[in-house]
Formats: sequence, C-alpha cells, structure tokens
Amino acid sequence: MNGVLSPTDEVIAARDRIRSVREEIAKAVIGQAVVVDHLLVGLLAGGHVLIEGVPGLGKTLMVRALARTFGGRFARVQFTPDLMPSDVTGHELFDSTTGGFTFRKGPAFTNLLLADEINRSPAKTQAALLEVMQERQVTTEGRALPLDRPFMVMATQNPFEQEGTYPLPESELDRFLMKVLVGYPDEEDEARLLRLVTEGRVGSDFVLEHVAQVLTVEDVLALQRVTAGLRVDPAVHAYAVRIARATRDRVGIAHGAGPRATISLIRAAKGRALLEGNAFVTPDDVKRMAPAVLRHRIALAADLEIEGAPVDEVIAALLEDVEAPRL
Amino acid sequence: MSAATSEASPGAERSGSRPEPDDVRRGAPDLARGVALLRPRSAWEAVDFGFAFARPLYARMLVASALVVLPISTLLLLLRVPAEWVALAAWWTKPAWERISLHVLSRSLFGERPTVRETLRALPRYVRRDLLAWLTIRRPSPTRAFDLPVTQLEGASGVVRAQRLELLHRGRFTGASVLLLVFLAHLELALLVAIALLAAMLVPDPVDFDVMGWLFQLGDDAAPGASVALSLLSVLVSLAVAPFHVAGGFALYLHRRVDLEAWDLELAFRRLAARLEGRPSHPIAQAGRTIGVVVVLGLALGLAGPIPTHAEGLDPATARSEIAELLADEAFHRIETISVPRFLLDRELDDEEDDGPTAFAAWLEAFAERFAEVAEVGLVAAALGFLGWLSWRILRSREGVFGGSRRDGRARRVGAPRELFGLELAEETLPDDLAAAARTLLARGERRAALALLYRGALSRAGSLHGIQLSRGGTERECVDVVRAGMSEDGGRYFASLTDAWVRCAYGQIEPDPALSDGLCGEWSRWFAPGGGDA
Repeated sequence: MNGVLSPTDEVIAARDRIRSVREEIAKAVIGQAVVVDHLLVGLLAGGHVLIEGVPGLGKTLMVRALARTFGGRFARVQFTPDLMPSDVTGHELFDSTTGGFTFRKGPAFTNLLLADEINRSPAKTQAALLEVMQERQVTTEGRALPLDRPFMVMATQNPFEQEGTYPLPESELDRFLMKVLVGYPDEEDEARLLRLVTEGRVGSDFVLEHVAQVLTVEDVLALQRVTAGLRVDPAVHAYAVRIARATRDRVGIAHGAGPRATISLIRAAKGRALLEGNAFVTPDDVKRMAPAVLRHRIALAADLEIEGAPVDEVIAALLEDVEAPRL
Repeated sequence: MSAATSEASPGAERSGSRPEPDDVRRGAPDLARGVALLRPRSAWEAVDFGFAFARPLYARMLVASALVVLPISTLLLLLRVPAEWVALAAWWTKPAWERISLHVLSRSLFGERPTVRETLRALPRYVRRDLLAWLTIRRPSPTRAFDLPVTQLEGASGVVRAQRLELLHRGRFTGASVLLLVFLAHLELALLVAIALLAAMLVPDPVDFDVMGWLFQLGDDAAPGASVALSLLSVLVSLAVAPFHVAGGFALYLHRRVDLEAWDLELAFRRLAARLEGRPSHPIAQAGRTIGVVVVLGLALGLAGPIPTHAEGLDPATARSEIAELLADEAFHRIETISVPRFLLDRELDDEEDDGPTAFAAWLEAFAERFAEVAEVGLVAAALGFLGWLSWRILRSREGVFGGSRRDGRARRVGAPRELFGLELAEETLPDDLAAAARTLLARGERRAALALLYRGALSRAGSLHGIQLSRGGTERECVDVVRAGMSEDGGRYFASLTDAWVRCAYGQIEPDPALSDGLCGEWSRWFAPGGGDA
C-alpha cells in the first residue's frame, strides 16, 4: 500500500508467453480449455496435478502437447498392480566392465511425468512417488539425486472402475497441488476433434506435429520465478486461511484441509493471476482455484458420502459462507 | 388346513348328522352338513376353516375370476396401456373381482355349488353394489375380505353398513383379518419372486440369458416385453391368491356371526325341528336348491321373521324360572380343559389371586397402572421429542453443509446491508454528496482513497438504490456479475470499470491514471446517486 508499482514488463511478457503456450496446446487438444488452464497453473506454480476422468478424453495428449511447447522431456508410466518403485525411480545395475554398480535412471528423471492410472498400483509404489513429488529427488544407496527442473507429475485416475484399485493415501493426495476433473467435450469441440484426427490420416493417433515449441525449459523456470514473485496482499492471505480453516469446522466434512492446502491455495492463485496477466493476486483468484485445491483434501462425513453429495457442491457452499475480503 | 377338516367331524357329530369324509373333503356340504361345520372357533381356526372350505372350490373360483380379469388386462395391453398400469389396475380392482370368489363360496356354503357359467351370469347383480366406494375410499381398507360379505351378502350400505361393521369389528376377528391380508400380500410377493427364480433356474447354463435381470429391470432400461411379462405374472399371482383371501375373510365373518348370533345353534335347531317333524333331513335338496338357499340365506342374514316357539306364550317370570331350570341342566355345565402356554409371571399372579388380593398387591397393581399411564405419556413425549430433535438435526446438518444455498439462496443474501465484506455500507457512513467528496480527494491527489469511497458507495447504493443483493462470500468479480445482472448494460459496464480500477489499486498497488479516475468520479452520480440513470 505504500509504494506504487506498475505491471512490470516481465509480467506482461510472461502473460504473452503463456498465451502462446495455450494457443499451441489448443492446436492438438480440442476443448478442455479449463483443464489446460489448470495444467498451466500447476506448471507455473511448480505443483503436481491429479487428473480424474474417464479414459479417452485426451489426458495423455494434453501432457505431451504441454511438454512439446517448451521442449521438455516427457515420460509416461502406466501404473499396474505389479509395478515396482524402482520402475519409477530407477535402479542400481551391476556393470561388469567396471565391476561396480551404476544407477540407471527411471522415468522420474524427466520434466513432465505422466503417472497413468496411479491408483492401480499398491501403496508401496505410490509411496515411491512421495519423495519424488515432495523433495524432487531420488535417493538411492544413500545418495540423493536431484530431478530435472521443471518437474511436474500429472497423475490420472479413472473415477468409475474402482475394482482392483488402491485409493491414494491422504498424505500423497496432499502432495498434489490440484485435482482437476476432465469432462466430456461439448458437441462442437468433439466434431472438430473428429475432423482433426480422421481427415487424411491413417490410424487414430493424435496430431502433435503442429504443436510448436514456443518456450525453453529455462523460460518455464523463469515463469515459475515470476509467478512466485507476484504480490499477495495480507488480506488475500487471510482469506485463504479462512477458507482452509472453514473446511475443518464445517458440518458434513469429516476431515478438513491442512495447512498445505492454504499454501497450495496461494500458489495456485498466483498461477491463475499470471495466467490472467495480473501482477497481483485477488480474492477472486483464490476462490476460483479453491475447488481444485480442496476437493482431494477434504473427506465428506459418512452421511453425505452415503447420500452421494458431490464434494464440489459442499465446497461451493462453503466458499459462499466465507466472507470475501475488501481492502 | 388339515386341522379344519379333522375338526369338522365333532361338529357334525353334534348335529347328529355325520358327514361322509368324502363330502367334507370335497367341501360341498349341503345345508345341514355345511352349517354343522360351523361352531365357535378361534380366529386362526376360522381362517383355517375358510381355507379348507375354499380348496375344493378353488378351481371354479380361479377360473371364474380369470375369465373376467385376464381378458380385460389383455385388452388394455393391446390398447397400448403401459403394462405397469395394467397390473396396477388389476390390483386396484380386487374388491370388484374378489366378489366372484365370495359368490361361489357363499353359495357353496349352503350346498348350491354354482358353476362358472352361473357365477359369471350373476356377476352384474352382485358386483355393482357400492362398487365406486369400494374402489375409492374403501380401497385401502385392511379388513376388506372381512367387510365384503356385509356389502355383498347382507346388502347393507350407508349408515346400516357402518353400524353393522362397527358391531362386527368389536369381536376378536378384526385383527386376524388385517394379518390375513398382510400374510397373503407377502405370499403374493414371494410367489412372484419364486416363479421368476424358477424360470431363471430352468434356463440351461449354456444359454446366456439373465431372466431375473430381464424381468426386474424396470424404467427406461426395461427390455421389451419384460414389463408385460412381469405385469401378467403379477396379475396371475393375484388371481391365484385372491380366493384364499376371500375365503379367510368370509370364514372370519361367519365365525363372528356365530359368536354374535349363535348362528350355528340356530341352524342346528332348525335341522332338529325338521327331523322331528318327519321331514327329510335334506329339505333343500329335495324341495329345490334355489328356494332353500334363499330361505336359509334370509334366515342367516336376519331378514326372515322370528321363529315361532312355545316361549312366546310365557310371561317373563315363568320364562326366567324355566331358563334357570334349563341352565341348571348338566348340559350347560360341561367342563372343558384347554392347555395353553402362559408366562410364569402370569401364573404366579394367578396363584396370588387365588389366595385373594392382599393390600400390598392391590397397592402394587394401582401403582403399576399409574406408573404405566405416566410411562405411556413419557414415552410418547420422548418419541415426539426425539422426532423433533432428529428433524432439527437433519435440517441443521443440511444447512450447515450447504448453508441453505440449495433451497433458499435469498436467506443467505443481504439486501442493503449495513456492513458487508468488512466495509461500512450504511447510508449514514457515506458523505451526502459522495461524488463531490471523491472529487475533493482526487484534487488532493488521494486517488486510492477516492476510488475506495466510490467503490464503497457503489456497493452500498447497489443494495439500497437498485435492490441488488450481494452475497457475503462474493468476490469483486462475482459482485460485478451480480450488479451487471441487476442494472442496465451501461450501468453494469461502469461498475465493472470501477471495480477493475479499484482491484488494481487495492491488490496491485497500481493507481489509475488521472483521466480514468476523473471519469469514474464524474460518472458515479449517474448510476448510483438517487435519481440517477438506473435509479
């Protein structure tokens, strides 16, 4: 409130770059603009994203297109019941020429890691991701090997086929900055998608060659720094805290969100603010990101679970009850 | 049911006319034998008697009913009436077509045994009485089978029927009639499922066809023909069970009349008189079944006059002495020993009563009665309290979860509030001429303060002047959407510009350029001063 800042050139340039990334992804991913925005928010905030949706909605395509826009490396791991932690992180291999062990890096050593159907693997393998996601490093034989930056995990899960799955533990869910729901595209988008994939093409592979690289890995890191540096008024901080705390006292919520949710709310709000081209975070940014940040961090009470009340509806009602700040 | 058959013999012996076993099994007693079967029975014995009586007549009752119900149901199906509605109609009209079974039973009780053709020919006569009432207000009656004879056989309606039912229901058979309905309703359901299961079991393994899924998958997912099959099956099951329901109810009705009017004795006396007068023991069989049935039914239903006896010439005092003399006869002092299980506590109480009640027992009884009264009131109060508490909890839980937003969004919104978002919005906290005050601040270079005043004033007037209700949880952007919906397009656009300038200034520390500030200040009165653009 004391010094007067004008939007820096850095923020304006950042907004333009993000817009160009959006446009490139839109060449391959038809519709799903909201999901793409959430992914970009996750990338800008340096967080991980859990994506929930039925198969065939272009989740993998989305991630591959995103990786392509900044020339990042992309790895995909299909989680299965017999997947071992070392299949994700890497393993020591005996080298007969040197007579010693060398570390063969797993798919975690990448920029964008797509953990497909993460809930199909047992807790042991899921737990292997904990260190990777939180510490951004892999420890082997007492050595900590840092992962590449930027590093982002996008995990998918199917909401319907629950048989033979291992629900993610709360501690791991909390590591995800957001949980994004992917829905079916609307009719017009689906028709465009159909034309794009089927006209003059053999097979049903999606088109990625039109997606151009508009950023470098360093640009992404710079964007993350800009995001981190956005201004947040203390009233907005207080608003985020009020929202998170409201989940703990709320009737109908068995387990509320922890302090990590408050942190995630502000990080995600910063990402959204930059996406909107603002050098500051508003309560609106916090409120808009709250459902994605909170929906996997709260557990509904048994009666609401039985009733089948949607968690988003509970969050929406909660957000209406928490007074928005005004300066 | 076998009990009823075996118990029929002693009754018959009492009448002095032993029925042949075959006749009893056929359940086709003539007047003498049929009435001889009647004697005071417990409710369940009566129902058992009814079932035993109905078994030999089952086929003709079923066929006669089916000949009425099935063609109508089929016709409705052919007219494309939804199958579920057809099943519902068949169920709903039970009080009409159950009369067919009652007709067969009532005639057969007196030896007539009407054929299916005769039953159907007589249908218009007995089905019409009070039909509308039976298919509307009386349809939910749980004592239908017990009450139906009053309408169909006694021909009572209106006040007479009500008084008659009031008398009949005082007895011990009403509860049994209700339970009979409950039992047979469950039996119908069980039969329905059992037949479906049987069909499912008979499908060979290699055939991949889920009978149960096909049959019970209702609604939009129902397979073609499944609802027709299920509805027809339910109609058939209803037809199959209905004769027993009618027979059980009819038997209860008969035994209530035995209790009430000593009907069995009356008819035994008639038989005796007939025999003493040297008439054949089967007068109706010989004189013509139809006439006999009419006479006996008339007697049974109380329509015939009183039977002349020598008692008519007696004066009351002589009659009383003769009655006393008769009652002193050994025949009225027969002792029957019946064994029934009883609670030990009851036995102990009985023992105590044998010794005469003590003062303590009397006090205890009075105390227990008083305690029971108080406990009854307490229990009712507790139940009501619990229900109230439960309702309150549920409502509170729903409102706590959804904040009432699902049902009553208005309750959560605040119109022209004095305080909102931590801002003072009361009219008296605003300057009289807010635009002038803002201009003064602008002139002093306090653009942030000027914008804050304009924004606060706009929020206040949006409620008080334009009647726009803002939610406490609404962010700046959401308030813009709400105000835009409640004002003209230009007014909404102005508020959006003002909000944008304020947000940039407040959260981004980016002060608007002087031209924008002046413009916002100059235009404010147009939209938010009394008598302005939208006001």
